[in-house]
Amino acid sequence: MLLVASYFFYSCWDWRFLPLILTTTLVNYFIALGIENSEGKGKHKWLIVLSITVSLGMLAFFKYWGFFTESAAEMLTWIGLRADIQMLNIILPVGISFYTFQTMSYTIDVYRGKIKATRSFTDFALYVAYFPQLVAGPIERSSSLMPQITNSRKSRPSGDFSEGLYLVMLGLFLKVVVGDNLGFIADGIFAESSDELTGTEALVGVYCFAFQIYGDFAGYSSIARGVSKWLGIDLMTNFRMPYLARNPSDFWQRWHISLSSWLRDYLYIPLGGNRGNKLGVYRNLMLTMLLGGLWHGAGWTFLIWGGLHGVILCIYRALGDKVKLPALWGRILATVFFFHLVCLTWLFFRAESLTQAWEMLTLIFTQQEMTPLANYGLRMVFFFCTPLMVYEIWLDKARSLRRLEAARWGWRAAVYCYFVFMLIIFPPPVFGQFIYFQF
Amino acid sequence: MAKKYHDYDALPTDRRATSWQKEMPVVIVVLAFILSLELIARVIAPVLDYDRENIYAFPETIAQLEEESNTSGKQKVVFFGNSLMLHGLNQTLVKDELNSMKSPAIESAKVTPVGTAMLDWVYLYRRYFTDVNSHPDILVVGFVGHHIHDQEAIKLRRLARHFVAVQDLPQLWEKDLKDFHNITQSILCNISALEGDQPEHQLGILQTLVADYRKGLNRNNNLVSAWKQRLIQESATANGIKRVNESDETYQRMQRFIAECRVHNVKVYFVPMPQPEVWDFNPDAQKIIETQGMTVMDARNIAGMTPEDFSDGYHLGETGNAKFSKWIATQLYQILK
Repeated sequence: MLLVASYFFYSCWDWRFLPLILTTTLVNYFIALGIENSEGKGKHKWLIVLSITVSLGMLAFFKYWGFFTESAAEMLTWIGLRADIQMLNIILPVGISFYTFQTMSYTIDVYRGKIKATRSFTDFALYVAYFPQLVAGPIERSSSLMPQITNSRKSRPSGDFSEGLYLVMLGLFLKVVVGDNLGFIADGIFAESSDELTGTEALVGVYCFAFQIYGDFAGYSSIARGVSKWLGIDLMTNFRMPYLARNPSDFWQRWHISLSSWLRDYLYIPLGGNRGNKLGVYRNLMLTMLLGGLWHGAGWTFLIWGGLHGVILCIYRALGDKVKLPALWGRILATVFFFHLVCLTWLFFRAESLTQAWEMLTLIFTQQEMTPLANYGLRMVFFFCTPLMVYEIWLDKARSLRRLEAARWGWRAAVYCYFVFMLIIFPPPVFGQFIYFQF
Repeated sequence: MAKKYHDYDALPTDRRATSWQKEMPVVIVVLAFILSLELIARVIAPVLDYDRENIYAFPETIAQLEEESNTSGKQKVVFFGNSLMLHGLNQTLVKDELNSMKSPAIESAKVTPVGTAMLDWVYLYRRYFTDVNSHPDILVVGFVGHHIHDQEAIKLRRLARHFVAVQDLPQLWEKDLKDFHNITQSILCNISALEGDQPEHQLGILQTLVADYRKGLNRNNNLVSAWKQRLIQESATANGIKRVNESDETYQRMQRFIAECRVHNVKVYFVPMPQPEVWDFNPDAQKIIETQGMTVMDARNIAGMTPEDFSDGYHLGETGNAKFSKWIATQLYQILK
């Protein structure tokens, strides 16, 4: 039933892409069985290469074909050759990056001998297409999700309802109130020509986008986890108060955890990880982050975003231990500084082009002037985000995302009443599509 | 144990998450809170803003007109439309002018909710003119070009809350709002004051708490709107879709409005309102109005009207109001004599 619901959910967006997800499922199901049922490293290697080629091939075609052909054409024109490359207007299937990575992790884990290949096709199909996390994650691991699908869910702990309720309420607040309201302001500022913007407006636009993408994505993940709790399945935590991170390493343990841990386990460590000399580690970090950037979208802005995070990680690795800050104020300073550093990388992520990103960056550092738009945007950021950040600091102090669940029920009721009030009175002017649906 | 192992997904103590039975008090408090908000929203709705005050007065205005006409036997004239008619017409002046022309006297009322257009008027008329004797003899509808052709709802929440009667909701979904989001929202707004008047609650709070809210929001709205227009144009250019021009405008809702009035023997006079510059009135619209047996009273170019007669470049000011009211009286005289 969950499988039928999942396919129905996917076909609501565009039924024509059902064969695509079915192909990925079939290929990886049979390859995993093939690996398990065969002996000989050579054959296993051949099968895993086939699986990765098919999975990444489909991802590359649907997601990156336009980017690569366009870039190739531009490069040929730049060096003086006439480029006549046929451009295809390819629709990006929703959630393709998520289910491709999830499926790949399963086959690789079978290849590594970490898990057994499942015999049940329907169980595996549900693992690939499980609807709460199909289109925007979290990217689950087979070791965690498969047993929950295969085994009976009748003996679940009794707290699923309350935990699910908390996650759904929090997710709706993050998405609708924080993400969409600030996204509307970010859309306006990023739509304006740089000639007409002041540096303060550009900075406010970046702040708005920082909270838009957090609210949007963490909100979706939270709703997916909450709904999943009600269905008796635990999905992994994808965000842990990321804007309270004090350094890049800390940030990537808090932001899009399912992707960053995927990249660590299936890319960074196989590349060599922390082993080897310093240059090798920096190369591994840069490659991982560049590919992480490219995963988000086929564009130079995403690549630069990934590259910047790679550079920040490398610098932190080289100098991090040498900088010592006093306890409390040091932590606050590090958090504020690192939040702004992340914001600057978001500028490249959100900008329509590298030119726009550079112009806005220049404005931020050269021309500060408070205007009605900047004042309005900044106060809206404070209005929507101050309670959220205070709440997150309260959670972070207990080092638990579930502190509210352990509090007296009256406190929970008060927080839910606040969520409901904000949801009813402050819906966004325009409801935004989930940003991560496009990745 | 979260503190010990830094497991952010664990509860911070040894307690277990509460069962659904134990979570019920939380759910009940939240539901009670929503009901309280709804109650407050209903209590303050009639005084929420000028627009709501105006709308909540319609039943009394229409009943009073009916009663006065029954007593005096005079013809009922309703001036209908939006802020153009609201600010543009002085009923006392019209009556005085008719009196001075020795015209048969009238009983009149204004039904002019601000910021409305034909979609609102179709349902507003059906909702508020329900009594058999409430229908006017003459309905004077003031508008400019974009008010009468078919277009998206400008304020969906207000439409569903204040203009569409419950029994007309199926018609709204069948003919005007066909997508799931709009259907759901129209149901919620129709039954809930909290939902239906939400934009005004939001505006009230944010205007109080956020400096430069209006100015900033207006600029942001303009930026987003220009950006979306640009995207539509780019997409249309890429896909070879031609832009909608005047000749593509449709008038289905206006036809429904006229048909509704005809059923109740109401004579409708459509008045293209004066503007600082004479605007183009789509001849297709005029043809439809006249084919349906109604009349256009063209006020676009009233003799002696100048741009100074407008208070804000759109609405008539004091002098314009007087000129327009006299002009309307003259037109009514021709009908009534």
